[in-house]
Amino acid sequence: MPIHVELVTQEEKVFEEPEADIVVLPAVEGEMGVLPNHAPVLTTLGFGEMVVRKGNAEERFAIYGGVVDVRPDKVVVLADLAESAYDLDIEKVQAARERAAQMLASGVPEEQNREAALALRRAELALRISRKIQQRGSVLRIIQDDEEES
Amino acid sequence: MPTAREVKNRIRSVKNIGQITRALEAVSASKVRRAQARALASRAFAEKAWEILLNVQSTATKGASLHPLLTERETVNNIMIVLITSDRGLAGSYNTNIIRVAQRFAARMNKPVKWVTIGRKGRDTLIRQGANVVAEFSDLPANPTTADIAPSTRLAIDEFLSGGVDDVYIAYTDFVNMLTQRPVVLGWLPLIPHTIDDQVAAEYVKDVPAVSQTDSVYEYEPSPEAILQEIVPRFTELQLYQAVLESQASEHAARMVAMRNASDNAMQLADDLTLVYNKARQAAITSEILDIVGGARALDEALEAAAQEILDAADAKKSAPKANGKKAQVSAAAPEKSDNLRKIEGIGPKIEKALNAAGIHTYAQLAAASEEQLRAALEAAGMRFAPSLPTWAEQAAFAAQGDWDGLAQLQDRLVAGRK
Repeated sequence: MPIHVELVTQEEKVFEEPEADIVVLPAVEGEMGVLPNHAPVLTTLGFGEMVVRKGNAEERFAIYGGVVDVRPDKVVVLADLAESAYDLDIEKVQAARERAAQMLASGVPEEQNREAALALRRAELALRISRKIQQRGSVLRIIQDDEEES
Repeated sequence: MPTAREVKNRIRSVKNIGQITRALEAVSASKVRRAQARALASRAFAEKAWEILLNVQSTATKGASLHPLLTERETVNNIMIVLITSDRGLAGSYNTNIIRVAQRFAARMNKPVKWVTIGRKGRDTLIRQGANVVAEFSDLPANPTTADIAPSTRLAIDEFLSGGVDDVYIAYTDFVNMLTQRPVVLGWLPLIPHTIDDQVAAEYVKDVPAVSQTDSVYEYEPSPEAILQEIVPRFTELQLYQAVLESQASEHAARMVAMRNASDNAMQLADDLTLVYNKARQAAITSEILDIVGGARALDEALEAAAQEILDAADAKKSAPKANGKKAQVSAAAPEKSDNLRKIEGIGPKIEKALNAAGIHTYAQLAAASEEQLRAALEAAGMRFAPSLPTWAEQAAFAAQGDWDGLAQLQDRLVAGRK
């Protein structure tokens, strides 16, 4: 029995795959692999990488916090922010990271400080993920597969 | 009736307005599609979050509240209404409708209201009516993110948590479809279905979507509280965000319909005015032609009168000497051609001249003249005697009748005009 995976943010539905084989989630208390027939779990997500596999193909996302609703045949990820790992623009991420680091270094008010720290964490995660993908070279993607089929 | 020029100016201005409204319509049509897509996109999260929220609330806690934003106050002293309108007008009855609904709802609730407005139109109306507006947000971008509405959310949450207000509502316009937008009130804080005693006020409030309750017993990691902590602020923010998106989609749809009507009316008006213009133009042409024709006739009459005067004057000059000469007798026949009187035997050029001077030009006149008259005519010309005189009348009688044979016979019998 495959798993129905949905990834939504407040602003849009990022991804939906009705027949995934396995989902790996960045739960707050560590990475969590979900196979079909998993016990129902509600858990919060930290910063990390989410992987959806279907056969040989896979799809990766950078997740920046959220909640996941796991049921035996369904996984619904409510992410605060999410982007496809393959769409990350390394140069932009680098620039964002430097900007955030600079803000932190120069010392700004409390509110902005927190945002800057958050931005820095996001940028670092995005960088880590995109480097990993680059090292692995070409991959088979679910979305591309679907596009070719249709 | 207005003149052709006035009507033409009006047609031009009506057509210009029509062009503007058509452009606005096109802009709104493209915006409404995007706004609609965004509103739909954020619905997915809202549904899921609501589902999880209810699940946690009901199963994990056995009804006891774990989060202050989920706790209903026993007595409601003050309420807050967040009114979402547009920044700009020209959207038909869109703003009027939602403001009216919000105000009626506030009146029915019969409690002190703190108003928060998003959008300039609502702010202006409420301030004009002296309502208690505690905060206003306007100039939201066309493509708002949750960050854009975060200040409004924070304000409402702070007010609610500090006890300043005990209930928070959002008055916004639900986008049903292109032609229908429904102004509604949404119970926002606390984040559970509101119970409203007043039946009429409850009519305005949007029904909370039914959620499929799963029977499965969840495990919570790390704890239900942590999950609520994560999801409640997001969901709170999202409800306002969605209301804003729905309102924007409604605004553009309302504006599109209003502008389409305006364009149609402008076209209709331009057509009607074109008819009026053509009438005015034709009337102007007709009156111009009448002017020209009347002028031409007047000119003709003047010319004729002048010509008549000249002719009359000429006639008067011609008849003047005749009237002065031999009076009565032959004046009527005067203008007739003169005959060659020298055909009468005994009349030569000199006598003819004398006769002509006495007014005798034709055979008929000569035939009618008596011997005394003829003698007087000769004497007047200075001639004393003409032996053939007594036969002239007789000869002329033949000539007057054109009886040239008769004249010739008579002349054969005469010798030098004498018998």
